Formats: sequence, structure tokens, C-alpha cells
Amino acid sequence: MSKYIGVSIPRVDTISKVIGTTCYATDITLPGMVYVKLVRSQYAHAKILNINTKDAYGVSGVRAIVTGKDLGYKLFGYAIKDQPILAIDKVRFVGDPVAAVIADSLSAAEEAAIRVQVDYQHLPASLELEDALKPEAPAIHEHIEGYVKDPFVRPLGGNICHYAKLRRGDVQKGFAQSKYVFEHTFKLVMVQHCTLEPHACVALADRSGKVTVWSGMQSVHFNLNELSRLFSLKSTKLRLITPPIGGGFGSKHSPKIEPIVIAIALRMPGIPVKMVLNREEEFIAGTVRHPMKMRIKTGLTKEGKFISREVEIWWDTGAYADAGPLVCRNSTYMAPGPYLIPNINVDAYCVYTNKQVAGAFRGYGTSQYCFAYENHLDIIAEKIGIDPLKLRLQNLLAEGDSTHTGEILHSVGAEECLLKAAEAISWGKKEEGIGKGLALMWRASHAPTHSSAIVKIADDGCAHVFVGTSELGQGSQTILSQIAAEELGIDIDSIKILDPDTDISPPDRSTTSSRSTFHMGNAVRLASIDVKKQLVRLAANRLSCLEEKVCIENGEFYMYGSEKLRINIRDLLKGTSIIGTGVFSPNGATGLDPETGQGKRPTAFWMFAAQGVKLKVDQDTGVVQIEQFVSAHDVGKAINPLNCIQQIEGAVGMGIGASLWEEIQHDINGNTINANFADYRMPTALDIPSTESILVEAPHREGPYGAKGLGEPAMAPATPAIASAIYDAVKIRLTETPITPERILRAITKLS
Amino acid sequence: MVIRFMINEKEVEVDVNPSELLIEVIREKLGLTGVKESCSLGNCGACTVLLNGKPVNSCLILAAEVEGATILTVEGLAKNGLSSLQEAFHKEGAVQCGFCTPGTMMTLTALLETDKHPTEEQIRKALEGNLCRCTGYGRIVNAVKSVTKATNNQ
Repeated sequence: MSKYIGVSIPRVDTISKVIGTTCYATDITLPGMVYVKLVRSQYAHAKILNINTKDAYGVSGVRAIVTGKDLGYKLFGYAIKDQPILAIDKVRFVGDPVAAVIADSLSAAEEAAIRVQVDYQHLPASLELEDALKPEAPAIHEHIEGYVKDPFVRPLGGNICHYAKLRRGDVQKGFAQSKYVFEHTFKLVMVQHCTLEPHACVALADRSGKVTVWSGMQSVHFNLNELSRLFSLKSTKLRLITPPIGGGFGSKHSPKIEPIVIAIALRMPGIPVKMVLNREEEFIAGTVRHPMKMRIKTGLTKEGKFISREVEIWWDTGAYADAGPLVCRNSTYMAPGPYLIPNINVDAYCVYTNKQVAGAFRGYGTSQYCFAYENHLDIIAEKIGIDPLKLRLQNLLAEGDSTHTGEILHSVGAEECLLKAAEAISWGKKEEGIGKGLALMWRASHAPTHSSAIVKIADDGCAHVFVGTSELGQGSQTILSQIAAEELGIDIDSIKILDPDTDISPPDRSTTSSRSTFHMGNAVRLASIDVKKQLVRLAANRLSCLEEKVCIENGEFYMYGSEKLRINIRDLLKGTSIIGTGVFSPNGATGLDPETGQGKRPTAFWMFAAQGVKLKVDQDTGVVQIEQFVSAHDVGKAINPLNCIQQIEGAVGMGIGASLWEEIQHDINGNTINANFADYRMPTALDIPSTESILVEAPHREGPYGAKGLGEPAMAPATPAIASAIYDAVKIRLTETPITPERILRAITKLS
Repeated sequence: MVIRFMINEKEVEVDVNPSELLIEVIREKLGLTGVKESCSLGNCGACTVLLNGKPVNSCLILAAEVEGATILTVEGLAKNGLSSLQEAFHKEGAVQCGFCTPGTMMTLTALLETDKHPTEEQIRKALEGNLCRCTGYGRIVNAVKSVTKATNNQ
């Protein structure tokens, strides 16, 4: 009987959070600290002609003002190094930073920032995808050919910064053989993570040239790599530390505000430099979820078996590419959906526009294309007269089937999730005034990535666990503590998980992609097993017996058969500590062929989730009232069931918000017009119903105790499930988000 | 200007500018960083403290306004150990990233002072001004219910 695995223990870090002692990056204050306020572009696309700082310097307390030209560093970025620390020759979106004011107080920096005068020469701006793709559209990045890019990146000319494709079978032949062919287009708008903690960073350079940075980062090692390159610093001269983060969801992955704060710190050695974005800046210049347009065409037999699918996806990545090329690449094998389809073509394009940057966002594209492939399926089901649940079940991928890249699927709980969600909302039973919708999603964590961990056990039986995983609120500290406690056989209160610190933590790819339980969980498990082996070896020596004969109980070691002669860990270690290491990366990971998008194992594991929703639509106001919301997830193994439910409930909230209300809106000049929580309609406690969570376990042979991941999936099926339920209720089908009351009313009026 | 007020049952005297906000004084001058700033416009409730027993957005209150007042922040919720609400938040899984937690608990502490047995609807209505992105609010509501259930049982 396991003490910790499969057990819903309360989280290890909540006590300090409820008493208010948790120190986030926003809380860090150091003596002599100075504050940064950025001067930002008011134009979506313009050349910078001149920056006049004379009046700004007149504000008392101003220590320095820097511009892009002053800094002189290379460009940084994710898959494409296309971003300057401060804009140099031109600005590419409203909010693009052009200068930084550093002052003794934030109010002085703000006052001075207003007085910085920037002269611009307007350039035509491409705010929408369609604008950016026109032949006459100005290039947002004229020099893209010369940018440093990851090897897989393939710009296609104009504003298309990456093109990816997948080819499997012969789609045209498949369409020719189909009894039915259907084609639909879906669009999703820009939404944002809206983490309660804004981006915050403190940097301090000492006079020897070593820089220490405290920032809420989801990927300290990834950032160390990028930032040491950017600033030409040895990795031993740059130390990145991440305190607990007040929400991530992808917004704090890869360098965000760290570059400007580090650049300033390097110019002011000995002086701590702090920058915190205010909420308006978060909306205007923080990253967002990629707006997406997807055309999907499917050919199927009379009986409703999918034969052929053609998908064309357009990703609006904003002014800088950030995670866009990766979202685009990954969409080739996930956007066709979790169905067995012998012939598939996917063409995916990542496009620059003059808006805020779209980057990593919970799901990495999955919550967008799920809306498309599931609604498409529901429309087809109705047209050909097959129940949508049945249509899903008869085409669903299963264990041992090939994915769209040729990977053999393992650990597939999709059918069970779908059936349980359907049963929970009494699918098939018509209820007066109620609309019902079902949807299924899948998501892979991309491979290969690796995680490593160090476990150190002291002679008091307490263990330090060194990992690069950031605690975003997803519960990683708790899960990793449970794994370590289980393997070491010690109390969970005796475990401390260290915050990521590049001087101390062994490497980890990132806290993204729902990958931490699987990758870091395994690394911690391996490191703990390593420690235990060494303890057993020591005990065997002391007990003069074979290692196989050593037994452990409550931190005491004895030889099998001689239970009375026990040594405790204090006697065993006598003032020393032991360390164990663990490194994990999934076996046999491959890349993707650039021509066909095929690869035998481009993923670590697959997650599946199904949601069912019952709702009412008020036909006079267009307001949707969700009566029941069910979310069924295949997690492989629930290491902490309560933790799983917490993730599901939160992601469902984000999914409902993105479906019904959320949208970052712009005026014709590219200004964000709803850059605050009053006008950007994030769900409140009155908006989200209680969610019923169902955990399904299809164990993964490589996961720790069979576990996979869970952080992202619950957001995705919400939108198509809600859209289909609305159709079921009032017979209107909306193919664009958000599905607001106004849109519903307009459609109802049109229908009548 | 020097102002005097009670905070977490302690009397304090602070020199403030007329334009200084209460949240700045609490966080920077008094070093109580439990209260958080997230939107600066009174929309999200992360900065909620109790002012004479009522929940207020401290990012909208001028420090000068609290002369002679009594303030309670998250640090003052329990002298020793945890208040029943803090304990419930911990046990019921109402905390994820924790950034909204101090403000949310202040709002709910005020609610439970005025109404020992709020309905779910009343709890959610009280929470309307406290935004949370991580939890979906369900476990927070459960935490309040577990406190009221415990009160029932006493």
C-alpha cells in the first residue's frame, strides 16, 4: 500500500501562501534598488526617427535613460532571434518598448517616461492576418533571412515566418472515394493568460561582472542558455533564480522582461534594478494566445468512417515570433484530431502581424484547433444523421494505432474519457430547454526534452531535492515531494524542494508542455532510488550482510531475520550527507521530417480529455447559463488526485472564459482598447459553475508510476462542447469565438 | 504628514505623502507584503484588506484616509497557527499560485463576520470582486462551506 502515490495530500506550499509569507518576484526589495519604466510605442508600425530625453532628465530622481541604440546587443528570441531588447530602427506593435527610464522611485520613472519624446515615421500596419498576407503588405521583419533561427524554421517570404506541413497518404484520392465531403472554417481570437502576478524582475550586477536575476521564469535553464549568449556572459557569470510564481500558463516561458532589466543592471554595477509590469502593460505588451484561423475539410464513407482530411491553419504570431514556429510545427500532427484518418494533408503558416506577441499559452495551440476539429465533426454528424458520440467512437484512435506522424500510440484513455463524460451528462436523453455538447481533445508533450534532479539526504533523515521545475501554482513542489518521500521512505515533511537556481539546480528543459510530472517526476524518482541504493550499501557494510538482505522501516535499517539489530540513518551517515542523481529523457525520440511531417516518436506521451456540458440559452438576452460541466481526463496515474482536480477546475475556468467572453480588442490603429480587468471579461466566481472532474488512468510505461501530465488539456474541449451545446439548444452554430450574447442574439434573429 | 492607525492589532505611526496609496504604505513602509498589487484599478481584489471591518481595495485608498482607522491584513488573520478559514483553504485545495489568496481570504473573513452561514450564491457574490485565474473558484467556495459546516457542528 503506497503511502504517498495516489494520495490527495494537501499541498506542501500552501501554509506559507495563506499566511502571506511566500515571497514572489514582485515582493523582492533590495537596499538601494532603482526602478524601471519603459517608454512604449504608440504606433503599430513606424520608423523611429529620433528620441529626445532632455525633458525626462529634468525629473528629480532619474538616474539614467537608455534606448535601443545605446544598448547595442544582438537580437534574442525563441525559435527565431528576431527581438531587440529595445526597438532600434522601428517599432512593430503598439507597446513595443523604445526606451527605458531608470529612477530612484517608480513614480519618478513614470513621470519621466511620459516626458520622453519619440518622433516616428508611420508605416502601413498589418493588424489582421489577411492584411499581413497581402502582396503589398510591408515586411514586418525585412531582415528575417539574416536572423539566427532554429534549424527547423522555414520562412516562406513576406510575413510568413514559418511554414510546416504534414503529408500522409493521398488526400485527393481519398476525397474522390468519399461519399460525403464537408469543409468548414473556424476562427479564434486573441486571449491572454491573465496571471494575477504580473511579470516582475530584479537584477543585480556586481563589480566583477557577475549578474544575479530574480524573476518569475518558467524555464531558468532555457533562459540561461539564451541570456548568456545574448549578453556574452559565461554561464557561471549569470545566475537566474525563480521564486514561487503567481501564475504562468506559458506567459513566463523564455526570456520576457529579463533582457531589459539585465541590460540596465550591467550598466549600473552594484545597484539592484527592478521592473514590474502594470496590468495595462500586461495586456498591451505581455504575450497572448495565438489567434488562429483553420480550414478543415473531411471526406468520409456513407457509414461515417473518415477517409481523408485536409487542414490549413493560419497562426497570427504578432510582432515577434516567440513560440509561434513551434506552435505552428506542432499543429501539423495534432490539428487533424485524435481520429484514425488514412489520408491527411496539413499546411500550417505562422504569420507576423503588428500586434502584441503571441507566445506559449496553455495548450500550445491545442485549445484552438480542438474547437475546429470537434465542431467540424458535430456539424458532419448532424448532416449525415449519425449521433456525434457514435461518430467519434467509430473513428477514435486507440492503443497501438498510428498517429498522423506514424508514431504508435501508447497509453490511450480517450474512449473511457468520452464515455464517462457522455454518461455524466446523460447524453442521448433530451431535456426540455437544455442543450448538450460533447468534445474530445488530445495533446502531446513534445520530445525530446530532458530533466535532471539531485537528492541530498542528511543524517537527520531530511532530504533536499534540487530541480529546475518552477512552482507556478500547478503543484509541482507537492508532486515531486510525494515521489521523493515514497522512494526514500521518509515523511513528506522531511523533504524540501529547492526553487530553481541556475547556480544550484541541475538542468531541466522548462516548466511547460505538461511535462514536469513525467520528466522531472522520473528524474526525482531515479535520484531518490540512487540515494536509497547508497544507503543500503552503507547499511549492508555496517550490518555485515548482503545488500539484498537489508530491510528499511521508519528510517531504520536491519538485516532480514535480525530485526532487533537496527541502525538509524543518523548512525549510518554520522554527520555526512549522501547525494543521488537522476536524469530522464524518453527513449527513442525522433524529430519530424520537414517534407512529410512524419516521425516515429516526436512526443513523450499523449494526454486525452473529454468534456460534456449542459446549458441553457436565454433567447431574449443571448446569455448562456451553464447548468453542468463535466471533465474527464486520462492522466496515466493520479499521483495526487486532488492536485489533478485543481488543475482541471482552473483550466475549465479559462476554457469557459475563452469560449464566452474573453477577447483582447484593438482599434483601427492597433491600440488595445480593453487593457484592464473591467473591460477584458475574465470569469469571476459568479461565472464558472462547479466542475465535475473524472480521472481516468491509462498508465504510461515510462511515466513515474504510470503518470503522464495534466496542466493543459482541460482548457481545450470547453469551446467546442459549449458551441455544440448552444447549437443543440437553439440551433445556431457559431464558428468564431468568443461566443458572446450579442453574437448569439444576432444569430437567433437571423435564424428567425 | 504623519498618520496613526491600527494594523493587525498594533498601533503604527507612518509619515506619508498626500498622494501615497494605502497599498504602498502597507507593503513598502510597513513591510507587510502579503497584500498584492495586480491591477492598480480596483478590479481584481488582490489588494483587499479590511478597513474598519469592511473589505476595500487598498490600491484605491489614499493612505491619508486611514488616520485613526483599524486595518486587518492576511498577516493578522491568526495570532498563532491558522484561522479556520486559512486551515480550510489549505485542506480544501483552495490555493494554487497563491497570489489572489490573501485578498480573497480578507473578503471571505469579512463575509463570515457578518454571516456565519452564507449560501453558495452569497459566497460567490461576495467573491465577485476577487479574480482568480488558477482555481476556477470551486475549491475556494468549498473552503468557506467547510468553515460554515464546522461552525454548524459547534
